[in-house]
Amino acid sequence: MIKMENIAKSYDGNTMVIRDIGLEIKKGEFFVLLGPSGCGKSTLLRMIAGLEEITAGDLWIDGRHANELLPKERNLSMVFQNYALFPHMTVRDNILFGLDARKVAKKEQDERLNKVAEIMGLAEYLKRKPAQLSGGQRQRVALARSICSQTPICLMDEPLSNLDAKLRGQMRGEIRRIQRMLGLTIVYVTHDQVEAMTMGDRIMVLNEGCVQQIGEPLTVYNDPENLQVATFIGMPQMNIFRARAEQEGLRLNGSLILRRCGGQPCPAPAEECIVGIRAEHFRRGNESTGYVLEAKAAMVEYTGDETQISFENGQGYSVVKWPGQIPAEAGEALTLGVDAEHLYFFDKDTGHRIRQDGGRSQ
Amino acid sequence: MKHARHRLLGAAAYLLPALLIFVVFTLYPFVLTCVQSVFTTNAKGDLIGFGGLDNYVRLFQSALYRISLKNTIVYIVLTVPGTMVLSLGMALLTSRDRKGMGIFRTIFTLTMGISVAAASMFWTFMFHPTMGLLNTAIEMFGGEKIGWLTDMDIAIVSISIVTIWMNTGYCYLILLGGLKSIDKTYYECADIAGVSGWQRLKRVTLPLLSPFLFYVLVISVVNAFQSFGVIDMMTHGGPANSTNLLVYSIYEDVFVNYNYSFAAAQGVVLFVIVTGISLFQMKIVERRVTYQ
Repeated sequence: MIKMENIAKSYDGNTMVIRDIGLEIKKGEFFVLLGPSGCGKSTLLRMIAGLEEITAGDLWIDGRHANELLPKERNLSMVFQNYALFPHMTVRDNILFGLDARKVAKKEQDERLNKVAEIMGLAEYLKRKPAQLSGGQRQRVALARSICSQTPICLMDEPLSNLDAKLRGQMRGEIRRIQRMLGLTIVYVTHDQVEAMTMGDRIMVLNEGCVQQIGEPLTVYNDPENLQVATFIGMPQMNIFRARAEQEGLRLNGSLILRRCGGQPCPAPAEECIVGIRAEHFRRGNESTGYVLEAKAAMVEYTGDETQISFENGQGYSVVKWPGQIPAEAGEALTLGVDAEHLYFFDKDTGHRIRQDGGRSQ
Repeated sequence: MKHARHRLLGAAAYLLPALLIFVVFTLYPFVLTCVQSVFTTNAKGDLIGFGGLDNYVRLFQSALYRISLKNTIVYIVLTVPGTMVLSLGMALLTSRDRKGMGIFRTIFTLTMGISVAAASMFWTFMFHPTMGLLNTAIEMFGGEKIGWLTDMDIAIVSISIVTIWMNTGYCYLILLGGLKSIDKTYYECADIAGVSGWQRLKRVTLPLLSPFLFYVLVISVVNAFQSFGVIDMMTHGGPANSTNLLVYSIYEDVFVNYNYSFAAAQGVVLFVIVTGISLFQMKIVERRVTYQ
């Protein structure tokens, strides 16, 4: 549906804000562009929309070479972060905006409007102005406009970022439901990893204008290609240590030691590297088959359904996360087990993942 | 209790300067004018007897007053739309950030820095029957000379041209600022939907610009009603009262005819007209304005 080859963008001809992006988005796919602010994800989306020029590379939309196509010729719709609802128009006119220009007959417009208003639960608000709506309702109107245009591709630029947490969770599910129902191809920009993980069929993680990884949400989570992806996805953030291989195990940040149990081989692929351990991968006690870490609890936090314990690691704090309410107190000694398969190794200079089993995925 | 009195005193201290200026320079003269208008006055301006509504009755029977009222309406009909369309057009042309746009923006706002006197002098030369640039140009192309300021039917048009020329700079600046303040995602939304050209202007730009257009409309109308400088400098209301506007008529009755109470009555009527029109604009026209 959308294909990019070596796409690049530069505003001044020197600095590239986006470099060498290649990807293919399939019909009916929910594709998420994820990255920290300023990584170029919105720019990339706007290049697909035709709102930004493509400096280099090729873009195909629905089989057509689209680099030079005007936005309206690309047959897509877009939901903006601020919704771009016209304050002087009623909800109805906002939803139908652009259908006259696309020469859709009045009768057909009414049919579409009624259907969309029903799907989105907007039927009783059609005569209101945007100023008389709540944030969530405005969001729905923006979405309804996009659906009403019946374009096969819908681009969304951080559409949920102006909503409060509860509504955001609700709209996540709603957008996903409508996308499935109508078979839309959605390209969705967000900096929120929860949105990316829960909504996307596939995620592309971008950083500083470069693709870090493209894959299904769980693949990206379980098998990150590099340190960037590993630390960007996951809450709390993956614990990162500088590791040095020693006789008895791995010295972390020059202070803690990750000791081998039994006959485990030396875990480090190099004498010095970076090791990452997710908070939920620590086990309680030394029942682990792999490695053990002795630390001292610095702070214990209960969220009700889980317990987070942080411990000092020589350069800051690392976090352990366990389900349930685990009795613990600050200052208490912790024995933490980690299985071998839950150690992520990264090159200390490039941040690339070092796979111990010859590069195969875990 | 003490706290409340303290707050009141504080508020009064802050309000006093503005209040004082308002009372001394606006409210007091206004009340005085109203009082004067129901009396008769001598040539020195002293009140010499109660006249009731005599001045007002005389006013509406006065042929000259009717002429100046008609002239003022013609003047408004010419200058307000003229100024608005011209300044809007210029603002639309220069609203995009392109290279060299600053030069045009500067040129278009230059008239703001020119005094009425200087502009009137300059345009008097332009309109000069034999040596003026306009007539010279018309003659060069084989046309017939126009009596810009001497022809009774043309003079009001000429005065309007000067007024438009004078006011466009300011209105242009307001509208340009308005255009620049419109969130560009509205245009991007229109681009993607394929709404362009005249449709985009009508459905996106003008409605979003409406608060600014409304402001420009209101001040243009008020300014037109109060127009005096250009008339005084260029035509003195002539020829044959064809450019005699309401404020100029007041001026003549005070400073030429020493007819103070009659002029005061004209002032009160002008006040009522301007207030009425402003109220109409705020109640009726402003309904179509959307503030963001």
